[in-house]
Amino acid sequence: MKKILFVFVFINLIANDIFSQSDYASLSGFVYDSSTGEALIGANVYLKGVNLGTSTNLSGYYVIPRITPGNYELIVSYVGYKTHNQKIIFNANESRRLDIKLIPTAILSEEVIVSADSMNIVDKLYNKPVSKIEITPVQISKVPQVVEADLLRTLQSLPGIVPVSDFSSAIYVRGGTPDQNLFLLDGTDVYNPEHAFGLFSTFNTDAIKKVEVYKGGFGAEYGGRLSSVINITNNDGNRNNFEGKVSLSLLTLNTTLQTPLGKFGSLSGSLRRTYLDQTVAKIFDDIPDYYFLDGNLKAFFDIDKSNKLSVSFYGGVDNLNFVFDKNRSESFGFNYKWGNRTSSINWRTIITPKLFGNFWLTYSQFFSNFDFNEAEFNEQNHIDDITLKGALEYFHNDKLNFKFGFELKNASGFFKEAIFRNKIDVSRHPKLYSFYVTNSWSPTPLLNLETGLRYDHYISTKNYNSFDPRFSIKYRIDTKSNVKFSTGLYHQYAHRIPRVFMTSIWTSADEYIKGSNALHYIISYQREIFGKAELEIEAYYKAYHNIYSLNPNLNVDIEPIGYTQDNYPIYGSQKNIFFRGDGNSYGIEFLIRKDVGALTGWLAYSFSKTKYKVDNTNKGNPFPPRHDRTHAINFVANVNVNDLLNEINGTSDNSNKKWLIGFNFTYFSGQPITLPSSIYIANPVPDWNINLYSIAIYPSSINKYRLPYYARLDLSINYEIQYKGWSLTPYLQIFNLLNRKNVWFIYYDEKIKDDGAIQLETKNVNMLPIIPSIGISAKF
Amino acid sequence: MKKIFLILLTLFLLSCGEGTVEIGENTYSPKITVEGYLVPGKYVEGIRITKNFPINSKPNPMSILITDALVKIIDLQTSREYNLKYNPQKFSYESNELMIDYDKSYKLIVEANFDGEKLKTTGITHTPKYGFKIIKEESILDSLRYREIDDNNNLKKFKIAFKPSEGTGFYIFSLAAQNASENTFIFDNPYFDIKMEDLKKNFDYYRYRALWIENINSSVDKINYEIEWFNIWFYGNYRLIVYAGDENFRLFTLTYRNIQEQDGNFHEPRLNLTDDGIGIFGSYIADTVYIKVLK
Repeated sequence: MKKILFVFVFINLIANDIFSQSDYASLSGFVYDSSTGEALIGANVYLKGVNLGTSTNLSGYYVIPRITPGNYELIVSYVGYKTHNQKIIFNANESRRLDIKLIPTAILSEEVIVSADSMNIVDKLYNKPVSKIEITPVQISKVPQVVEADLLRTLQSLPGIVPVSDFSSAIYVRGGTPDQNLFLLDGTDVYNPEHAFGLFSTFNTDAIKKVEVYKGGFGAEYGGRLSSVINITNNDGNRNNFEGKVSLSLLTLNTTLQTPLGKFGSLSGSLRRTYLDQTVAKIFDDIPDYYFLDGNLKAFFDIDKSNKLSVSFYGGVDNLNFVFDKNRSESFGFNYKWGNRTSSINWRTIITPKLFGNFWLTYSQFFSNFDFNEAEFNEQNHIDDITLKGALEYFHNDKLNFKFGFELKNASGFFKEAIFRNKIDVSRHPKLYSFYVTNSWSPTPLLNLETGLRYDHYISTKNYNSFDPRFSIKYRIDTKSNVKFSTGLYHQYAHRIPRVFMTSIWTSADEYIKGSNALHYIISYQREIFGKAELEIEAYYKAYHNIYSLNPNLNVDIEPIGYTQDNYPIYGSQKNIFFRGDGNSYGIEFLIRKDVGALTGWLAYSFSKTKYKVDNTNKGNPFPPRHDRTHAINFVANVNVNDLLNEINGTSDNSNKKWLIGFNFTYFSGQPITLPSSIYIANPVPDWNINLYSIAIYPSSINKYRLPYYARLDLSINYEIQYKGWSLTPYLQIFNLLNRKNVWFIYYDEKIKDDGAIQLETKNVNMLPIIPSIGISAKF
Repeated sequence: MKKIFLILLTLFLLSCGEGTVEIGENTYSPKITVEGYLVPGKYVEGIRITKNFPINSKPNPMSILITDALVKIIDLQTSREYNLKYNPQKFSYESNELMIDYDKSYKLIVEANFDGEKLKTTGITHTPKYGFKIIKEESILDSLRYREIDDNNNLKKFKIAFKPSEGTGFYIFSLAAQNASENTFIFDNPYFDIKMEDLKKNFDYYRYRALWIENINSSVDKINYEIEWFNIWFYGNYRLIVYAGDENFRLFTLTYRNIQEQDGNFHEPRLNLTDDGIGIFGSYIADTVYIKVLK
């Protein structure tokens, strides 16, 4: 820790030494999509031949400071767009503003784009931080999934990110648990981003503009979580034309509309709803009355050339009315409703050409209500989070720039539960004030060092302070390859009580639970291969301290804080709800990725090991958690059949009808499982004779065994028809094409035979079988 | 091209088929199983010692009894040891020398040899304080018609009023249908459509019910508990035993079967037996009443 702080201070001192001014010029501006007017995030902007360049930030803004006056060729490139080349002359002390519009490939020949973009793969790799992956909605929609495209399920196909089962879209990043992932939707924290008990994520692919995933080693501008950041930016809206998309899958009806708001801005809105409750459930009694609905609305305003404002809303709700036996007048039934609401106001401003500001006021709410009156079981869970945050970027010169900012989070939440006469009533109002500073120093065009420091002040019934240093270094080995290293300390004060069939409950540090922390070390090698593809090899080590897992026997360990009038307990403290633990993860990941051409996709292999050591668990011995997958292979391939034939035959047939075929192959080592070691005779009360209740299972050591390996092959076939600006795409998706029976868990059936013999029979419960689905989408 | 074909073939082969999990002898390790309770005011009796056995085996209950174990109880107040003898009529160990007292601690020691291993376990129970008793005059224990309704159109329910033992917050209500049969089963219930086949398969589930409360305020004079009608599945007589259980009884009863999580994985139950022991060594005070459900 002291060493890292020393490095931080040392680099700052060196950086201060090189502050000097001369008659350099500078270039700044935004990069836009020419057809929609959307700002492009992560576009590469550089001056050819002099190793001066940068990439656009989350607002699409770039700055190239400290340019020696003279003649240059400016090159701006972005995957899926025609590369922009422009001759440009800079005068002494000139501060030039240049907004650039890139033309999408859809209206151009693919051949031009492939050759142009491939030039910049190594630059693109160098510019991005360690362990960062970018995903576009087009890439998400190309990966075959269960019924329809889903962001989190697509992320499960990336190396270092694994699911725990087919039934969950939750992601486990490099050994971390889902609560260690920070989900940001237009800058707003999202809690429990799940529909349908976790089967799907709440993020509507059609509303997404860009997704940035940091699998570790992220900079000081991000905090509050131990493992990863998933930063989702929704569409601002088409600035030039009215645009729409309607999709119908077997699950949902989905529409997205975008329109310009005169010269002032744009508006984008999406609405998605499942419809089984209105169709199939009306016919079949066994289908529960369930739906989910979500909507996004985002307005973007161009206040002037230097100020942009966007206002973003998201609302989603799941509603389940379940009756066990619809033919019985008083059959048990329950209603379960949960959802998220988020809103944010984002002001982006160019304070000076070298100083860019980004400010947010965000609100995030999660709620769930469960009513099972017959069983006297009711539950309400609520989180409200209001955050004010600012991020400033100062581009001092080509060698040095700074980022600094703050985050003031004011959260409140309550959890109320009544089961029979027992009551749980927990309220909390934590606050988190964070400040950070980062500097990026490039002493030569081949070397970049970034140091950062984040300070968190957490206020609750017990206060905590933490200083998190971050450090990364990038070095360009040659014209084809880079090497990077990153390390950092991360703190998390929010904890989650995971539940399988009910939404997870969030809580936060207090006198009983400390903040968790993790230390990351990541080394990365990146190389451009075959001229069109990228190779990334990353090795990592993560050490966790004070991580908390749910006490599986908390029902006997929680202590009442008082009593009801009937002298039944009231629970209001989280004492004994969690077990404290430590752990570590390490692994290595290989990724070959190709984003352009007729064949796109990625091939990835990852090796990883995770061990937790949790108090009061497994007799104090370390054990692998359930999401530990030693080996993982992911192969995602998308083939544009028409373009592939063009490449093979050397033709340039730009047909308005295209066949697109997608494959998604996944292999995981079997996940750890605790199996029964034996069975024994025991009754819950002394007066019972031997009966079915008398058989009890005694488990083995925790997660000592492994389930069989998991494998799955998915297929999608899309037929895209374009006509006068319209496109129609019917599609077929087949999940688990070869119907492999991947074991989910083991079911135990207790039996007493006629001869008095006692037996516990076992049966595998498998994950999802083959699921074919069809759908259609139309764009105009 | 050959390489691509081989890769595709491998992916196809990996993506077919079915995974299997072997459970049985390979996961088995022998344990001494204890099922025993001490009752204040009574001599030690009914301490049953058995073997555990592998999953998927089919042992007869008689074959798992351990009749030659060394079983003794130490009165921790006096440190005196009492050796327990096996009673073949009751299939359990007992002692007519040790009378159990209220609010006292006792230690059980068991040593046994089986499956080629010498095994040992110990457990300590602290008996509840004197005081627990059902207050019959304040309870509703008469016979009720099934889901009988009062003058205000509310469901009448069986109610047990009891005085708790101070310091004991755990009470378990053991309800056993004494006339349970396929003929007395309440098929015409408003909750579930139970078929005869389901009833035969899960007969014990309907016949025996164990309902519990924990962490109640034990320093008061009276606690009321109502039995919901969805716990009643047969017409006829019921024996209702209410136990004031010690901490071992509470931890065992509330965790020993509640070990499979929602994702199918297992966690450890909370059993207060050391080393090679599993099961329960606890203590309780009990009171019994009878109720009747009429058609």
